[in-house]
Amino acid sequence: MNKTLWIVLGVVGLMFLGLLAVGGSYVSSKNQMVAMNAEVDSSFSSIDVDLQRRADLIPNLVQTVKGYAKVEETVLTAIANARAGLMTARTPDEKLAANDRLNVAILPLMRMQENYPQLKSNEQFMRLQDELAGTENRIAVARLRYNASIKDYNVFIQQFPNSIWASFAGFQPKTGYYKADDSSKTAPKVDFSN
Amino acid sequence: MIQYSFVILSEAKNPRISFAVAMECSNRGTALALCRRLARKSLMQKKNAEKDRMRTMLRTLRCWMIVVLLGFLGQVALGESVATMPAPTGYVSDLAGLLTPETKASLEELCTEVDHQAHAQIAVVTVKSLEADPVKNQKASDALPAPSIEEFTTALEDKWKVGAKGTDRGILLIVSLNPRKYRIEVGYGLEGILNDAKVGDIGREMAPLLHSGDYNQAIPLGTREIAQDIAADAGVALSGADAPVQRIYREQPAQPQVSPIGALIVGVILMVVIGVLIRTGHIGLLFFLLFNLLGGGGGGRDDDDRGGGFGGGGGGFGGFGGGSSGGGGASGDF
Repeated sequence: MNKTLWIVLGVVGLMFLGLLAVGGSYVSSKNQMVAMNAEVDSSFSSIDVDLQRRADLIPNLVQTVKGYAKVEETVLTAIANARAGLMTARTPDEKLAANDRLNVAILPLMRMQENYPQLKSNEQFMRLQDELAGTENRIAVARLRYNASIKDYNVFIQQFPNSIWASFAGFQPKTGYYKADDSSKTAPKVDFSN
Repeated sequence: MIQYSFVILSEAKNPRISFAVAMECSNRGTALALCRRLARKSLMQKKNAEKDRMRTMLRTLRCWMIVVLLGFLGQVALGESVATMPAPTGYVSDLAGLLTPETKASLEELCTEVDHQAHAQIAVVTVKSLEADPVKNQKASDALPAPSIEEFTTALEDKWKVGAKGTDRGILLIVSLNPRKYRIEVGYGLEGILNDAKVGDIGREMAPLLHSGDYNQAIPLGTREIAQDIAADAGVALSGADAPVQRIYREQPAQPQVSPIGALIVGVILMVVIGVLIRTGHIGLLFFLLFNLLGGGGGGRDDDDRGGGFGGGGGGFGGFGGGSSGGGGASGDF
C-alpha cells in the first residue's frame, strides 16, 4: 500500500519534471526567437536609415554637378523618378528594388568627373563623393549584417527542438535575403556628346 | 669533336649511350681510347653508384625542404587576411614594415594620449596586401577573390573591435601596399565628429605623401589630424610628441564585495523561501525557473562579448574594447 503510493508519487514527480523541462525549453526558445526576429527587423532598419541618407544626399550632388556641367534632362528625370520611388517604397523588398534603380540612375552623374576635370578638383564634389561612397559602403555592411541576421534566425528556428516550438508559436523562416538586382549589374549607356 | 664527346660522356650516366657517342668520333684511335676510358669509368660508376644515389636522395630532400620552407615563407610574406591578422599588440600594427621605430613610438604615444584623455581608440595598420580568408581544405581553383579595402577594414574592425564597447569611439587607419589603397574607417561613436567628407579630406592630404613613399610623414600626418579632431571635440589639449609617456592603467571595474553577514541573510531568506515552497507544494516553480535559466543560457549568442581585453600592454595600451562600425569612413588610392 505504502509502496504503491511511493511509486505513483515518483512517476507523477518524474512526469512533472519532464513537463517542466519541456515548458522551460519552449519559453526559452520562444524568447530567443522573439529576440532574433527583432534583430532581423533592426538590421533592416539600419539599411533603411542608410538608404534614406543617400536619398537625401543625391539632390546636393545634382546641384553641385549642375553648377559645373550641363546635365541632360533625361538623366535628371531618371534620378528624380528613382528617388521618388525610394521615398514611397514601403516593404523591405520594394525599398531594395527602388534603391537598385537609384543606383543605376545616378551612374551618369558619377561618371561626369571623367569628362569635366574641373569637377574632379572641386572640393565640394569630392566631399559629396566621399559621403555617397561612405553611405554606399554602410549600405553594403548593413546588408551583410541583415543577411547574417536572417540566416541566424532561419537556422535557429529550423533546429530541433526549436523547429517544434517555432511552428507552435507561428515563426516562419524568412526569405528576404538582400540580393542585388540583376538590372543594376549592367551599366547604362551614357552619351555626353550633345 | 673529341672535346664535344667528352662533354657528353661526362654528363651521360648511361654507359651505352656514351659508347655510341665515342664510336662516332672520326679518329679511330681516339675512339678506342675513349672506350677504354669509358670502361674504367663505368666500373668506377658502379662503385660510386650507391654513394651517388645517397647523395642524390639527400640533395632531393634538401631541395624539397627549401621548396617547402620557401612556400611557407612565401605564405607569410605574401600578405594578410583578416583571419590571419595577429592580435594587436599596440595602437600601431605595422605589418608591412613601413614605419621607423621613432615614428611608431611617437604614434603610440599620440594614440595613448587620445585614448586616455579623449576616450577614443585609434588603430593604425599597414599591410602588404589584402587577401581573402583561407578556407579549410581549399583548392587553388576555388580561391576567393581578394577583398576590397572596405570589406577588409570592416571585417578587421569586427575582429579587433577598436573603440570601447557601448561608446564605439574607435577609428581604424589602414594602408595597404597591394592594392595601393588607404582607408579610414570610423566607428559608430565617432561618425558625428569625423564624417565621411572630413576623413576623405584627411585621406586626400595623405595621398600624395603616400604616393611618393613618405610613409613616415603621411601616416603620422593623418593620425595627428584625426587625433586633433577628436581632441578638439572632447575639449582636451594634446600635449604633442615631447610629452612624457604616462603610464595610466585602465580602471578595473570594482569587484562586488560580499560581506559574510549579507551572505548569511541571503542564505536564510533562500532557505525560508524554499521551505515555504515545499510546504505549499510549489517547489515545481523553482525547477521551472531553473530550466528556463539553463535553456536561455545554452542557446545564447555572444556577438559582442568576444572583444574582451588583452592583458596589460606596455605604454598604456590595454587592448581594444568592444567597438563596432557600420562601414563609415572614406578610402582612396595612392
